[in-house]
Amino acid sequence: MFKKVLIANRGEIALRIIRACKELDVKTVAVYSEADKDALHIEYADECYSIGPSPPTQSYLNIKTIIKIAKNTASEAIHPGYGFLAQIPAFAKACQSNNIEFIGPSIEVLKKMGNKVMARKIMADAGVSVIPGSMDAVKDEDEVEEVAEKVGYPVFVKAVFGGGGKGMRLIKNNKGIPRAMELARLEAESSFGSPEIYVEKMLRNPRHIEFQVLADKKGNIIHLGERECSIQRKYQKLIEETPSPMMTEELRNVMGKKAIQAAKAINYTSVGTTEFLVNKDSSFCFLEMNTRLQVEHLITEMVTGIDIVKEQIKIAAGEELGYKQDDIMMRGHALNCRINSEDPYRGFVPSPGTVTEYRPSGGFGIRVDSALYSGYAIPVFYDSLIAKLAAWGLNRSEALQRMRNALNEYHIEGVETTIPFHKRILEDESFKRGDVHTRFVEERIGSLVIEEKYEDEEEVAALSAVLVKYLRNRQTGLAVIPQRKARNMSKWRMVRRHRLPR
Amino acid sequence: MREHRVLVNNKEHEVRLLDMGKTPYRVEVDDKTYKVDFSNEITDSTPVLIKVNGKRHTVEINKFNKDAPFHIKVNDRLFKVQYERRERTPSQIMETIQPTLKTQPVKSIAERNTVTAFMPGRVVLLKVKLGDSVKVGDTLCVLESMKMENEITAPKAGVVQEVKVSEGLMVNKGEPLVIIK
Repeated sequence: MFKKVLIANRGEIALRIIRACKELDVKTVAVYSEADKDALHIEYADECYSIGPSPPTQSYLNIKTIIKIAKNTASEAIHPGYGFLAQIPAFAKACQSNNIEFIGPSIEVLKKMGNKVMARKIMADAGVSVIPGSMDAVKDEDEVEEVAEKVGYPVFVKAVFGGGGKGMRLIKNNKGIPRAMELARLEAESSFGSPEIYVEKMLRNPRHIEFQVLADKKGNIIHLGERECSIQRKYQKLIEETPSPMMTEELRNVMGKKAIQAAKAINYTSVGTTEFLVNKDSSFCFLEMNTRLQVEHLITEMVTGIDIVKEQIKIAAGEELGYKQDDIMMRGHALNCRINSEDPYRGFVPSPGTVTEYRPSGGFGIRVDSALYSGYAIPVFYDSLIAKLAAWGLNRSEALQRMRNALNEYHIEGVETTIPFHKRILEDESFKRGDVHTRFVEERIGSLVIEEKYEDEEEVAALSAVLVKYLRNRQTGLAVIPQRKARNMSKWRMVRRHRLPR
Repeated sequence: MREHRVLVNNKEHEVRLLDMGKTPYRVEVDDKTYKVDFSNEITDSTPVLIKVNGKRHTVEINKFNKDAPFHIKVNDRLFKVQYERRERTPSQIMETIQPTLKTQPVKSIAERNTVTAFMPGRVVLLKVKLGDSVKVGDTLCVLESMKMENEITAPKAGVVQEVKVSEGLMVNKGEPLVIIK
């Protein structure tokens, strides 16, 4: 096992990794940008080093500085977390040339799966069905039209080096091709540094279901079951749960085998996720492979009891998996709500700022992965994910009820959060039945309007406070002065009344 | 009109009792009107089922106090409540209410001409310069916050009189960006 690991990340995931290291008796090195000088991951790590100004390109994406600190601190390995450098082949390469273990898959795997067209080809060749579309990058409008006619509209144009729903545009008919291509290319270029795009058929209201895979360097590979991630907004996951409400033991076996088959096709090592889109008839297609630890890994931990981050570090250190597929049991049900500092009442605009009061949820079956504390200032430079709130229950309905309570308990003052949005989803009848698909949020929830905020408990508290005061006054008032009608009073009496001292 | 100001978790709310003749009462909180109905009289430490615009809430009042903070529990959420003590004349009330009215913001001409940042962030793209003519909806600049880009568009047509920011600059919420005349 490593003696020391550098964590090239921030926020809740940095804390998560530090905790895993501590359990493995591994020393930790934290790095931080200017904006993060009061961040919690600095406090929790054994050592911490500043890596530059706040913008990610100058700090958390600065390969040179991070490698230098790793060498200076004699860190044997670097954990990249998710985002930032987690899937950058150049970073894994820099680690390798400096004799530092990159805690993740091989450079080859990062390259192959980072190129979505290459990934599609590899999977199709390995016998894993992919979404109908182009098998190469498309050059011009004619080519897009040709593919679209063949597979049928609507189609997506997607960034070849993209993923996670960015650089992606919908085309409903051939008139929309030029504009969609232009926008997708622009976004692909600015986000991923390459304007290359390809075409994929849009499936009709599929579910997004992914499989967690664990693969060691000795050739052992298992899966830890699925995660249902259909609750998304603008292709970004909001709620994940496991098991999927639609899953059967048979289908899990079939899909799990395919997930492993996909990972084997590229000699995958470390933890990873094979993502599928699943149709109503349970047929499924490969979507992409995420070659990193995922945000939502915690729900799989809750039902399997396996610490995925510890396993990931152990695999990187060359250890053999301690489990066989038959050892894996899924017990109960877990779901995760991604809490973002965004205002759900104003089109989800970012809401960075200082958390003036913080009281996380608690109790049996509740897990909060967050780096927030009272007085912490959420910076504008990084992702808006500020907390992961997960709930476990013996069955789905228990897990849902726990989540509802936990959402009510969770108190984050000073910034707007997506907590009210999650509450709304959890009240939805289709969601309660587990009847969901990737366009569920768009179709059934939409957005919250500002008026609804006034239905919140705070307003009720305000009006109750005034009512109780008023009604008490009225009661006592009645007791002292009997109510009379103005008619019964003579004008003379009225005058006298007005003159009376108060 | 009966004006009440109450602090809920230190946030001020303006409550007006519009019609207290019989239930459902009509009550205004800030600038929204509610119909309020309840099962029995609100008293200390007994949960009361209260219907606000048809939506049911359980309200429990803990140690009601006219002069000091006390607690109200609404649907299992605890709120610190305190009455604002200051007595005000109707004209004072009008003065203090107006700026908080969300439906009719009272803005000076200068304020109306100034386009401000609706969120904190970094100016990643500036699309206009001094003297440019803009139409309603034209992009003035792009703000980036938490990895999300948001376009700031012209709320009115006119000529750019002043550009208050430059590319790469960090701005706070409410900070002026562009002045259009």
